[in-house]
Amino acid sequence: MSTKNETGMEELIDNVWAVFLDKLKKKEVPPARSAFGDELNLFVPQLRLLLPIYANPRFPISVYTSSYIAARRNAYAMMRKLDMPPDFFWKFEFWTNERAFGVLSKVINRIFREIMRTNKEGLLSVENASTDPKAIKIILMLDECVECFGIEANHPICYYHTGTLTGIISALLGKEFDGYEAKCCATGGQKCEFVIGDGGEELKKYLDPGKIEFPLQKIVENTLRGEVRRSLGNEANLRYYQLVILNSIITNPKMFRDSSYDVGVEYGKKLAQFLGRFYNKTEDELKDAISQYYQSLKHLQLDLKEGTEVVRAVEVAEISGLAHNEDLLGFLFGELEGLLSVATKEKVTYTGNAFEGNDLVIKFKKQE
Amino acid sequence: MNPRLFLKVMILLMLLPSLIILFLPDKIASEYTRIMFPLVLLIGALLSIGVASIYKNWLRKAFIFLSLFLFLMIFPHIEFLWGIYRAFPQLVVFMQWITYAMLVLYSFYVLKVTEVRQISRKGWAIIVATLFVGIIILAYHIPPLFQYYPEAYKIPLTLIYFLDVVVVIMLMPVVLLYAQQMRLEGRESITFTTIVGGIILSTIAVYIYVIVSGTPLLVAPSAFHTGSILDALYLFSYLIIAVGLYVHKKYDEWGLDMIEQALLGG
Repeated sequence: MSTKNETGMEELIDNVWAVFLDKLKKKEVPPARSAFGDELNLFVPQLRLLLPIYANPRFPISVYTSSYIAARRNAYAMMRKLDMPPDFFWKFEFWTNERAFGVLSKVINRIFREIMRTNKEGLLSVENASTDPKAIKIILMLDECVECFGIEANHPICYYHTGTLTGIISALLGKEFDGYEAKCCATGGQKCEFVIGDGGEELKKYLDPGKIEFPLQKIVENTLRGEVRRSLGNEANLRYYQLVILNSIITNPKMFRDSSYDVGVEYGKKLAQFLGRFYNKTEDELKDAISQYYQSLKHLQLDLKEGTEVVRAVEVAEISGLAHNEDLLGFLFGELEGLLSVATKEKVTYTGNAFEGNDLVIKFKKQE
Repeated sequence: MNPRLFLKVMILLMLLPSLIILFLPDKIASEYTRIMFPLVLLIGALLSIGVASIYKNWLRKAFIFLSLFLFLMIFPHIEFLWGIYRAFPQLVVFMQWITYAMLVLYSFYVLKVTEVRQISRKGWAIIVATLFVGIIILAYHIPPLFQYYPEAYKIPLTLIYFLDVVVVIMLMPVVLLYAQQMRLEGRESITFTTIVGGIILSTIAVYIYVIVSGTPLLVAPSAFHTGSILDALYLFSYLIIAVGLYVHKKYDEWGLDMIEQALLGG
């Protein structure tokens, strides 16, 4: 896999944020995919955050930091584009709590809640804003959080949203803040609660969670049975998913792409066995089950007819509407390698990819 | 409404009621200033209380003291009190000190909320230069005053002129920070800087007048309420304080309106 596109990631992130702003301004944004549209099952982005969290103890801090930086940069640019005076939140630390809560709520609700609602990321609200020259503390709540809805875990897991929301508040108030998740739906909370201010010990604990355990098979099963039911719907916006991936790998694209690939291989193998059982397919029919799986999640359309050496994929959620960047596809390549290895009962290895029009052609090789 | 644009336009417009003083017949100009000074100061004092209500801690105190300063500044302009001042000159000294105490306290709290660490070397050089210029001006103009004042009031009255320099030095960082931030991302408050600019102007107006007109400081007070340049300078400074306070109070509402307009494609 080449590394030639590493430098373009910030630009890709900024492009996705620009789409959010266009949608907010009710501009016509053409769908990224013709058949599936701009939505996919929320399990897809969830998986892309959960598996690395499980595999790599440094992943939480990495995704928190990169999403913080991207959100701060883009929220600031967005506010300028929306004509918000740069001194709008001047001396926020001296504002009365009522004023701080009222004005911040209005800005958050009008812009960021709306963006997140449109993306089906959840319903954002300001719960509390307490100001003080020594310490500002802002509590944001996310109801029906896309990052953890339907997941049970032993630790809060919404690192992407913690980073993003902290970045947004930092951009608005022109200060560097820390943020951590005090409550998470994954750990039994009604809503996810993000505390933004001076993180201190809480932040340290949050970003260094130790081993996070979650019942992956149960989550996949519930997803495929449609047992996860959000009032916002069980889908999330494709652009949100792309931001998740970009922020997952941007701090070290090569390392995270390669580790995503490895994680994908392991997951693919387990998934193949599960799909066989779930769809009640024989090993020979497993390819159909794989295609069905991707189709049902609106992740991509897979053509496995040519055998296992060349796989064609269209409507690929990771890259639709973006400049083609194979760094975003490391997990998918690994996942397919794992799936095909089980489906063919042979060791199959990913060897490369090419774009042919709208088709992503992924090449594999059977190992002797 | 774009609050920043509104403020800039209003500052320019405030030149009109100020400069008009210079073109009015003496008698009308005198009446005009006797009405306008207390009126604008009263409006400013009320607006400052309104602004204080949206802040807490030091910034609230700053605006409360500004309000008190503006309110106390009304008294020298109330004609029927002049007889009392003549009968009890110690009352004038007392009032002047109380009024200046409010301004010094305002400046003190402004300084407390100002991130002076962010001031550049150039900024500090300007502050030091201002200090020197202030001292030189006072050194030149104070000795004649000192001889003129009655023995009992010599020190308290002349010290008030030194407070002018103190206040300007204390408020300079706000203006400098704004100038610095303007070049970066403009996060310093334009309205707050306008208010501080108005206060600095009101503080140094008499010195501008004596330097430009060559009038001795001792004689300068006789130019009040006569339609002089000094009147115009004072009125303009009070007007921009009031305008700055008004826009500051409206900033949230108008800022949110601007966002809404931008979202609607306006």
